[in-house]
Amino acid sequence: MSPSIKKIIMVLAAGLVAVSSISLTSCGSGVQNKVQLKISNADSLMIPFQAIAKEFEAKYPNIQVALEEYGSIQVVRSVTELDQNVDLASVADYQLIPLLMYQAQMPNNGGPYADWNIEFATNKLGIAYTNNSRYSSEINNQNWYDILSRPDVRLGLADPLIDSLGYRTLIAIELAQNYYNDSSLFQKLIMDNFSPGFEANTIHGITTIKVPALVEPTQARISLRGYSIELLALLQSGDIDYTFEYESVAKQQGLQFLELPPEIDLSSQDYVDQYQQIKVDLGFQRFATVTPQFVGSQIIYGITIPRNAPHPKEAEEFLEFLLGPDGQRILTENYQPSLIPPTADDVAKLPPALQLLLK
Amino acid sequence: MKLKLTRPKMKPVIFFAIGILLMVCAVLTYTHPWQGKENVAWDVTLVGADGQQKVLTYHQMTTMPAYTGNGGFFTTAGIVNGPYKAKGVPLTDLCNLVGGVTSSDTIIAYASDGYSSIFSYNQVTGDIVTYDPKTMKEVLHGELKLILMYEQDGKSLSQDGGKPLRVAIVGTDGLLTEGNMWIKWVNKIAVMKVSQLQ
Repeated sequence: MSPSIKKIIMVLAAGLVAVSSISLTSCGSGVQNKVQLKISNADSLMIPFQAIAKEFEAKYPNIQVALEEYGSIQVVRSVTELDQNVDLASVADYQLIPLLMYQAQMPNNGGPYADWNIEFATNKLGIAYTNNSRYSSEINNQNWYDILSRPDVRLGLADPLIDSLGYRTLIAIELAQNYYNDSSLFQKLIMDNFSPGFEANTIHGITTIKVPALVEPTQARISLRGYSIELLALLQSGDIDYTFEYESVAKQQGLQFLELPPEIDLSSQDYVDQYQQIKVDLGFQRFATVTPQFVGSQIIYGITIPRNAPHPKEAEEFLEFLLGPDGQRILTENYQPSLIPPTADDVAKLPPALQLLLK
Repeated sequence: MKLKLTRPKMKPVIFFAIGILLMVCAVLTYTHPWQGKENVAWDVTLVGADGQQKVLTYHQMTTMPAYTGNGGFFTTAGIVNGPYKAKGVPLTDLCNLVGGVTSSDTIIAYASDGYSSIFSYNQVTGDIVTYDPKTMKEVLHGELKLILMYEQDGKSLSQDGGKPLRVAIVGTDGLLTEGNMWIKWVNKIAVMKVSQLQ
């Protein structure tokens, strides 16, 4: 072999060594051949899902769970529009899965992104506060709307254009108006505190709340934030006195929680007909694929394995764990009420092992 | 006298080193295509309050006077991203190309994935709630600008980071704002009268 050929071989060999070492460095570190199970979940599930992931990983050491929290619409979009290779999608409003995943078509085969949906948890809407909140010793489920209307009480609200908690709060206030038979309640809590544009009109028993495209408080006592997590921080720092919040989240944060009657709190199957009489029309369409209209409904969390999930077997194992006794225990420990038993819209389409859990 | 020209003998180890160097460069170039200037095929449509339109190419954007500031954002679950050093063109400068923005206007930023977000005039001029990245508590801020960012920490944006253009809210203090305002993949900016929204 001539010296020049030897040199060429030497250079190529060195190159191969370099490429191999770079590949090993970038792909091998820390992963140790574990399956990366990617779960996209509603932000209000963050704490219970973190606890479930921890125990699940201990039981299945070959699986590493990666949780990503978003607003529920964004959870669905991470599958259908953003191509995020999601193994499990879980939302705070189960209706979003059939609405946005059953009809959206996968580009490779034209099939839907999902064709079943398990309803597995619920929640209550109520009022979070601390012992330092003004009138905290007085507030109860008969006078809360009066206290929240007082000019010296600082109220935090989630932006209905951004956070589902925001439009659910509007629905609850409208339901409260009917429940307490006080026709000024929505006016006092919402319309008097914001720039013009809010409306609530009742026609044939259906009340439609119109939310303007720009929601801006006009009173210093009102703090409007895009994310409810910001309101919890304001509550804990004493910058606001009260905010509407899900029971699970308030209790996870160690806050006081005022339960509202089930006719108002969006938790009860018994009052679904009443909830459905309130509709919210948002004045700004944030997502091209989502019509910004929401009808009052019971708060039910849904979960599905997208049909393009990279690891459907492992996703199924996680769902079995979530719906089984360990998952139910962890949900309870984290104040997240379960639906017992969980239900599905089309049991026959579920993987067989999951069908057993629903029977 | 005859000069004898001889090539110095290169030891095999030098060839080996050169080989490693060349391949490392090749691999790094492949895995980080954002290194260096690139030709980005991306247009931004600007729409004025009176309907006038102007289309800017990515290249035209990057040749406009730029603002560089610091800022980051947090997600709906409170996960902090940044602060980053961000470079881009202020939204107000872009709006000025189609008639400007006044206190009776809003700005809507549209993304190629169908997402959009609306900004009030107060927000456009810096009236936005900001947070300390260490404590996550609300804090007051100095200068704050909404920019259409094309460079983050000295590099072009990654695909997941909103490549090639993303709304960023930055200033002199390096504070955080809500992530829903940091719109990725922006392809249209429209000025709209508040009265047209109702």
